[in-house]
Amino acid sequence: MKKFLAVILALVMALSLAACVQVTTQEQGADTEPKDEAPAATDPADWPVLKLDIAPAADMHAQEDVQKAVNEYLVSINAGIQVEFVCIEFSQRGTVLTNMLTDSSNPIDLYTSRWYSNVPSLVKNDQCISLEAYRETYPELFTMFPEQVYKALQVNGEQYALPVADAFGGFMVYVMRKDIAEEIGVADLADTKITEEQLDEMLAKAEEAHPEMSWVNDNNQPKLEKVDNLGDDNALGVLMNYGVGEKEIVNYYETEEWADYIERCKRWADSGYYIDDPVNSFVIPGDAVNNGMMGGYFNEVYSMDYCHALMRNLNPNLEMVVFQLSDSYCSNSNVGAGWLISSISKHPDEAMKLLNLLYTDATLATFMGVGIEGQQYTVDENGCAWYAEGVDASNSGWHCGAPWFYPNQTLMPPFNTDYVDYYNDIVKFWSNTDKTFSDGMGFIFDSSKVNDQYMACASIVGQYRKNLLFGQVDVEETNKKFIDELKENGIDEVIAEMNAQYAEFLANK
Amino acid sequence: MARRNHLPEMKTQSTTARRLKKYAWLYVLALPGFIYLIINNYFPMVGLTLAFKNYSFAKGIFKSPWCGVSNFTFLFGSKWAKLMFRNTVLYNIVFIILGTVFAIFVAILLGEVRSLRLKQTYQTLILIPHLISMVLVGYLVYAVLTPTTGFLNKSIIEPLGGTAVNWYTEPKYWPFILTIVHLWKSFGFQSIIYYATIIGFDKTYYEAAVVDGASVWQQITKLTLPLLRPTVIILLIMSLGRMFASDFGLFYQVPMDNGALYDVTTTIDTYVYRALMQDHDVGRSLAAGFLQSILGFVFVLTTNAIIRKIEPDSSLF
Amino acid sequence: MAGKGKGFRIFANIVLVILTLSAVLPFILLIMSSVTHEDAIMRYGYSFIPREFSGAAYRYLMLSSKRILKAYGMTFLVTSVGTVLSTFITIFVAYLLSKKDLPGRKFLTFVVFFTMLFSGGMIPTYLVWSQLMHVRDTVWGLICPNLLMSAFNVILIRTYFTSNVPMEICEAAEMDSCSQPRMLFAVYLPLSKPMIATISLFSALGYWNDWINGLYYISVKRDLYTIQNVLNAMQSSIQFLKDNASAGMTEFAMNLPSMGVRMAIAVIAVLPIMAIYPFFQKSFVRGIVIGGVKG
Repeated sequence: MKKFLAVILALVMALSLAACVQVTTQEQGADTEPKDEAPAATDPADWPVLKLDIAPAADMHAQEDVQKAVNEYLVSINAGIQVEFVCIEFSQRGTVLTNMLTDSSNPIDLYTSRWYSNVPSLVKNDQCISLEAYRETYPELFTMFPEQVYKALQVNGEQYALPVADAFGGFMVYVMRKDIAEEIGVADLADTKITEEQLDEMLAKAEEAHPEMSWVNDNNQPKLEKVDNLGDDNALGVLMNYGVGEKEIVNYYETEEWADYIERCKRWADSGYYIDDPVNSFVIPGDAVNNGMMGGYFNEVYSMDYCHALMRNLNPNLEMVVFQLSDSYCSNSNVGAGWLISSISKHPDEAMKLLNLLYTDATLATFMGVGIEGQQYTVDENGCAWYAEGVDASNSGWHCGAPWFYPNQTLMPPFNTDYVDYYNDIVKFWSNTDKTFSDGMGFIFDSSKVNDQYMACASIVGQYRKNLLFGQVDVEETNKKFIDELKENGIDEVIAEMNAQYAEFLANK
Repeated sequence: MARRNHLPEMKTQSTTARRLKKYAWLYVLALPGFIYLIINNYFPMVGLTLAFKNYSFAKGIFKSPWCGVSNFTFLFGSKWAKLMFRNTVLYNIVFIILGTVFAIFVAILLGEVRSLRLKQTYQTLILIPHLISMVLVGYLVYAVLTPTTGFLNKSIIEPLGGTAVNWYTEPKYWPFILTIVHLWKSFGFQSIIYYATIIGFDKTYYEAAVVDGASVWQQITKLTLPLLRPTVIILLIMSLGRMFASDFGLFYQVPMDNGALYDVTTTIDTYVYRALMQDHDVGRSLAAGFLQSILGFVFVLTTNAIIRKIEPDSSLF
Repeated sequence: MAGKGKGFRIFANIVLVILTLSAVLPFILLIMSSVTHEDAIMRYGYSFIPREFSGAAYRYLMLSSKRILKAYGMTFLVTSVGTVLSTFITIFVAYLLSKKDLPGRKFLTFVVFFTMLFSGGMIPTYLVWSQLMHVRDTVWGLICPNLLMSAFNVILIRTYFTSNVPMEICEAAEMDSCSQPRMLFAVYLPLSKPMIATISLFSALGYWNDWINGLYYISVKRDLYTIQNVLNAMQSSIQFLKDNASAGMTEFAMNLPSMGVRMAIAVIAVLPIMAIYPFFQKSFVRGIVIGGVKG
């Protein structure tokens, strides 16, 4: 009896006192509201301070300096807003951002979904606001990228996030050390497109010549599997053939293509192409080539020039050759993150203004990407930015290596590379016509109706997919078990629901 | 039970006021502790209602719409349901039994060491595993087990002429590996609790026992273990409350979240983490936590009731 | 006792040496990998004798030595304040609950124990501490949430008080008209030194190892970071960038000795606790002496 009393009492205490929390929240909400209606203050000290999500680095000692510089710049252009940086460790974004997005008394205003969540979930959880109201005020923000890319960040036809500037597409290449390519007599194929058979033959010869090296680091890539995984790494339901001309979503793991691909992976594994313990290892292929562990690796790039520049950067002391494996395709997996305004922001209009500046103002974008000129970086006569004298990644005090975190990296000078057209080529690629879009580009699956089955199946994929891809297990037996378990746990319902939504998507296009 | 309590209760009523007065200052001293519990633990329990709500970040805890029990369904029905409940409970039973026996064993051994310096050294060093985070324990286990460069394969199995084992794809070894890692990490901490209890025992008992000619073994079985019983029982009841919870680090970081091992490493916590990793569904994760708590609560109440029957003094409440 | 117990004492020492080694050897492997060249690990595997020495991991940490020292200072502050507060609060509650004829004892015990079973989860706790108690970006944000009092420790002490403090002594003290609060300091605490040393050790370890509070409640003022926060920040950003090194990012991937740094970080995080431990140990020893005298 006493125990029940105890529980009841505890609940009463908790409820009554937690009501206080609510009251304080509302009060705080109330006294900031009138500010919104007031005309923009002329004194910068009265401008609203927006909390902005920034990328972390091992050492962020310059955070305050950059914040000050940005705020001074915002004053100089009479922007009417000031910023406060919120720096969250990449690996902790899940918990920290979730906490911050609940805290309406001290809200974060602008954030990115990168390494946090995806747009449908953010919308489902009410963590962001629709940006439709701003379409007319800032038309440029809704048209600067290919239309399909915007679609991928919409829910029910409403834009909730703006895409982070990227190439939004590309093709697979195989990169190999030039001396090895010459040794096995394939150097003349460099910079051309090769077939799967040619690649397999090439790898076999390379392994024969250098059995001590590995050749495959990570083949867990949709472009190698030739599918559009619709942005889902578990590939539960995909469009085959990069999604080009595909009208139906299929259970990928039941297809012959998947069976063939893992057969091939198993052959690679048995021939010793993989790095040691590929499932658990963390090897950066560039480093592994530099220290002689690997002789070549797969990569996804958007242009050959870019790929060569990348190689010069990653492997400065080695010459590398590049073999193209596919044409350029754009699919949902190429649309990474978006920028959003939080649902608890008290200044959504100002947040949108800041977002607009981040997308269009080169000075602001450069501050965010590489810090302060002279402190973190200097620009050479070609317009490329490099670390300032005596500064490197470990002591710059700013995350110079993460321009891709911000809305529009293409406004910044190319950083740490001699490839002058690095960003110009990305921008050109947006309107480039020799690439093909997946039919499913922009299709977002809403799993809420088949959520339980979806989660169970995703875990089953986690159980089998990687080990099959890395040839760690018996292919035929394991794959059969894999398919059976997916069926038992409701993959067919998931695929059916996906197809229903996909048909609607195609009909609306 | 009612009958037994009948007499003392009459007496209680007559003296409650007197005892309240007697202990008045103690209530005052304990007040900060209870206020802390209310703020830190009881206020947030309002959040348990979220287990039955569709949490909206914009609307907050109170205004989010109710959704019945739909947050709970993802825990049942799939192949994982049976697996995760079975694994969680079985590992906990094994951990509790082996952990307690082992910790008491070590505590008794520590009590037998005469040299203070040695005692101090042992105690300091066996605590090291407790100080290393599970993520690092995961790396250490990896350093020992990784197939080609690992210490076990490279420096022990192969030199002895055995064939290297691909540990991370063989589920059959992992119940043992996880148990060993758990014991390794926790035995120092637990045995220090028991050791602190043992050295607090009244020395006169032991002196009397020695005079009566009791052997070391008899001292342990006839004195130390019975005297430890209240502590063991209390720790046992407390650990039963966590019967349906698991150490996330141990089951996620240490096996490196390797799919091939899911059958033996999936516990409620790891499944919930994997299922909700992408969409940060607050309601579902609280639903899982709520269910774990309720089941643990039932376990504790049952055990406590049984213990109160057998040995009223040792029960928790 | 001497004659009969000798064989057992030798056995005890042998077993303890083995156990101690099993606890320490992996840590030595950790230290050794922190001074081994990363390539050598990849090539020859992990071993107790490094093939190629490299101080790169420690040099990397030295670069931020100022930050690390400052964070150590913060950790010492938080650990000492937190441990003292926590120990007193815990003892007071436990002492109250140890009184067998206390009105409302079962209920209050239950109130304490219940917190071990049910938790409102991360978000409600965060909201209470940040919106109601306003601890964000203050040192109290590191000390108060979750760590200040643990029901486990309360119950541990309560059990110790009830089973190891003889009733006769309490009654004798009451006869001497010793007040209840004074009795705690005059009778209970001296008799319970080993257990109190133990829970203050647990509490100190809790504060020392904690990085969650810093992560949740320190969002802007990074100079309040404790050593675990600094180390955790280094560790996770290196690892995360490497794990997510896809095409656009590899070109920026930092050339850092990741595994070695991680191991070195663990070493410098653990060493100070090993230095402090003997002081707690002294209380254990004193506990034995007092226990002997009182009989």
